[in-house]
Amino acid sequence: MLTRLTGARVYDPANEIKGEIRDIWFRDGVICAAPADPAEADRSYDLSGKIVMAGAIDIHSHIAGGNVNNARALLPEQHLAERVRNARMPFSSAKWSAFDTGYRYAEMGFSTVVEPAVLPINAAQAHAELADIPIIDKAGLAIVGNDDFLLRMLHEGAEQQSINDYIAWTLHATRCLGVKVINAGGAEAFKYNVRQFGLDDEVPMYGVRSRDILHKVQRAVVELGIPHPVHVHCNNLGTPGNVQTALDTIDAAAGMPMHLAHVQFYGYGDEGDKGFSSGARALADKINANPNITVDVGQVLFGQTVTISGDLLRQFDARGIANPKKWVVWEGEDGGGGIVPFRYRKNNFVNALQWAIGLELFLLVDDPWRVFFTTDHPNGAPFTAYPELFRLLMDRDYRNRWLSEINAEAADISLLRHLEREYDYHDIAVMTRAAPSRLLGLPQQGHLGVGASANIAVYREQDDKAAMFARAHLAFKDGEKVVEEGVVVRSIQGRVHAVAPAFDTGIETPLADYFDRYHLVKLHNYKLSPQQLRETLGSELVIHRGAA
Amino acid sequence: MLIGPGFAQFLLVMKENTHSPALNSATDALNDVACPFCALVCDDLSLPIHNGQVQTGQLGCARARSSFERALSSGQTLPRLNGQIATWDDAIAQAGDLLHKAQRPLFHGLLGDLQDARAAWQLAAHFGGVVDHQAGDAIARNLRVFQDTGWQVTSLGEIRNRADRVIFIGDIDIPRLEEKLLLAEHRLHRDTPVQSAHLRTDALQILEQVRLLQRGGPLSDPLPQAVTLQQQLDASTYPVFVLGHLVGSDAELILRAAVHLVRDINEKHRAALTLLGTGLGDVTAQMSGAWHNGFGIRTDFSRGYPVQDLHAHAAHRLLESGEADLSVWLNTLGDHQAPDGETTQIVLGHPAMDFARPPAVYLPISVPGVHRAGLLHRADGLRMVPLQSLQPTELPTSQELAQRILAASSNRSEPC
Repeated sequence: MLTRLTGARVYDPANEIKGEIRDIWFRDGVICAAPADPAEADRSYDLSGKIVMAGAIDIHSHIAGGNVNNARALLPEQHLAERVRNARMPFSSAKWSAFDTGYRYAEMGFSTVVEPAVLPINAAQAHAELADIPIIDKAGLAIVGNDDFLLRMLHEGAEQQSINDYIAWTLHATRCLGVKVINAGGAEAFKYNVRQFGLDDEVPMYGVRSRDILHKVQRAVVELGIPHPVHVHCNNLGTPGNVQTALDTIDAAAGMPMHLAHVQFYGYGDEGDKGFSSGARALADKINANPNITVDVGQVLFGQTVTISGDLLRQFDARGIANPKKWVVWEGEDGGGGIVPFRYRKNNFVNALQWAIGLELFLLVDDPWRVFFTTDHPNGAPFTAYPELFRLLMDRDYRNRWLSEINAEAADISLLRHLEREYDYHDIAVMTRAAPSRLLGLPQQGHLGVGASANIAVYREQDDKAAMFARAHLAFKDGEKVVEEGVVVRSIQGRVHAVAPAFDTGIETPLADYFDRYHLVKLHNYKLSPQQLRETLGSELVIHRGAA
Repeated sequence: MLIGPGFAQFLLVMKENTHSPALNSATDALNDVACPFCALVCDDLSLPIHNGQVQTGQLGCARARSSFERALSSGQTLPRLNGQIATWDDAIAQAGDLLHKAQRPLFHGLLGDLQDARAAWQLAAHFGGVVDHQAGDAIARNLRVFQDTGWQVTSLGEIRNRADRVIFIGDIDIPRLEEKLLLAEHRLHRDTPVQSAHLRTDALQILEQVRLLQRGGPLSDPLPQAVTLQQQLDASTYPVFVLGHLVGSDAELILRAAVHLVRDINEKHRAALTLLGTGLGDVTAQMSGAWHNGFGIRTDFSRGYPVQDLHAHAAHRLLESGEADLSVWLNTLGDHQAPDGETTQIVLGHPAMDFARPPAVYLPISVPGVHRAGLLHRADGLRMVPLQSLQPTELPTSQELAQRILAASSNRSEPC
């Protein structure tokens, strides 16, 4: 079927289109050139007064896996269902279900979302949940850095090539798109009763420092040609003064590509009467000066949420601030994590400053290609708060009204009142479309050029940008119309993206021996095969080759 | 690419013959086979193939041996209506008719893998039913504690590699548990064997007294077991409390006491809890329920949206009160029967099921890990184990049946 979208202003930064009125054509699931005769269109949409962008991509949102799923079960009171909103879609009334996740993202015009914390031992469940998230494409990032096999290799001084093989094998086994390091070595240290762990601390029993682990994994990702740089959750998340950790980690990147996740949670100084201050300026300056670094923000927005993290040590440490007063800490093969519910309050000094620090970072990092929209869903706020975040960044008056609402002391010390910058549609399109496509290595997504997947979001232009981006006027996924007037009208199965860099399969010999020694799992049952994922879950995997 | 020999054989079986066993060499075997028949879900079984038949006789685990044997030798491939053999079309039409007419169908049992549980969730959401598991009382009890306080838990692999003391509580019926958790030859950075103890009686008092002793609280005349355990915990670096099947009215209190004791210890040292559950799909039913409906088991779709009530939506209560007017029993893994009663019954079940009182509709379905591939959580919920297809079958899968029932329903009228 040949479809024509006509009359809309198009924002497609990857193809250097900044708001020109032009037609978009797609045949079946792929963007195509305009035919010689426009009458060939099987269907045509007059989109005068509308804004068209590619489908949005979220690079860091906790949407699947055991930690997320246990948080659902822990907090039933936070997502009680209401009478059905759209009876035609399976489980559409089940809030915070896998299904709900797909519908809500689609309604906002998103087409791809990355689950950033897949613990390899839990990868099958993560894929099972991803398979039940409808409409959108999905991908996972495999957690490494607290895995005994890797730490042993480092302890024994293994060659970088062997580490590369192991990292590639991990991606092969877990069918993930990239590699995540969470407080490298911290979870393993916690298992030796260490309760604080920094970049230069050594993991007990192994004699390797956190920075050594990070460096080796980073180098492996670069040398394997995996498009997405190592995705780093730094040490010391959430602690006053931790901006130094972020600055040190950027230095440790030594010019090689590195993505720092949810940097708002590392934008903290320890100055002032309360020992808590904004470190946003120093962090933003550092990011601006280091073009090898990309970041996502992990914006905090006020309200009840729950923190879900693979940072075992941090989540244990946060148990005292649980609100409501219940929390989960779990340990598992090669990692662990925790679930701590939390309410961000606008009148609380620390929470208000966290809110301001996130916005400061957005506005102080100059290059929209290197800073990404996230709330670290659900850690800073649920992903459904993105439209509100867009408005805060696109509308200075609105932002200033909020500044007068929050804790006055936090508002006073924040730079925010002095930052005049307002994002425009082009910035939004860069940060949520063009840049994520490049960062993740998904060349057919995030733009509207010929050959791209026909993932398209159409918005009705409004002064209230939160309302505008909350509900797409139309959304197409692989050419199928899935959203109309902000409501899902069709549910389809999205794909799962993974990367498969080449590696020496000889690594499986020591691995098989290791599994037989220490695991309750046999090596070949640990590895997920595309055939098995299709047969047991209905997953359609798209395997991207690394560039190596 | 290196492929394990077991997988190669498996592919060979699948490739060469879809409907009957293919290999006839006496030396061939399927290796690294996963067993879905208890909470441990071991994946290291070796099943020889002899004259094209999968052999179970050499399996060391009696549970695995009898369960694989039962599934591999079961001959029922046709559905039955009130005990009489029927065609698939008639049986599916009858099931769809009963489901369509039911005011509040109950989908329970759920002794199966992820695919079986998914089928239950889809049917329940469509027909406005309630879902529970055969072990629903235990799951609900654990969930209540979880939702009240949370907890600090560890995985089976972590116990195997790191625990220096394991305290078992409750009945434990997992044949290879000791072999897997306590008798491992190699452990991470430990060369001392793990110590273990089993609190068979007075568990609640012992745990509560240990909590008091841990806090240095006044306690006159403590139980000797409590004093011993307290000393053992003090001498341990990573004690783990492993809860099996808890019976009796103090089951919930035992769990709560263990949760709090573990938390107390963690203020200075390390300790953790592990719940073994009952196996046979209990964890998978709860976990998959959470991502399907937000909550898990004992969730009702009769109002058009999911409502969990851990007390009111208990299968046995709904059947005894008559609130459920149709019982749909799903069971591909065990020999468990639906509770006897007056409620009209549909069974989607293991092909070897045998009924004292035949259900209105019996739909035999393939067994995960025997007739088809599947996924099943082991007890700790961290690991979903892939189950292999060992022997092709003509039986439909639960998913195929659910789809046919849903299609038949959609064709006849508007969805409920």
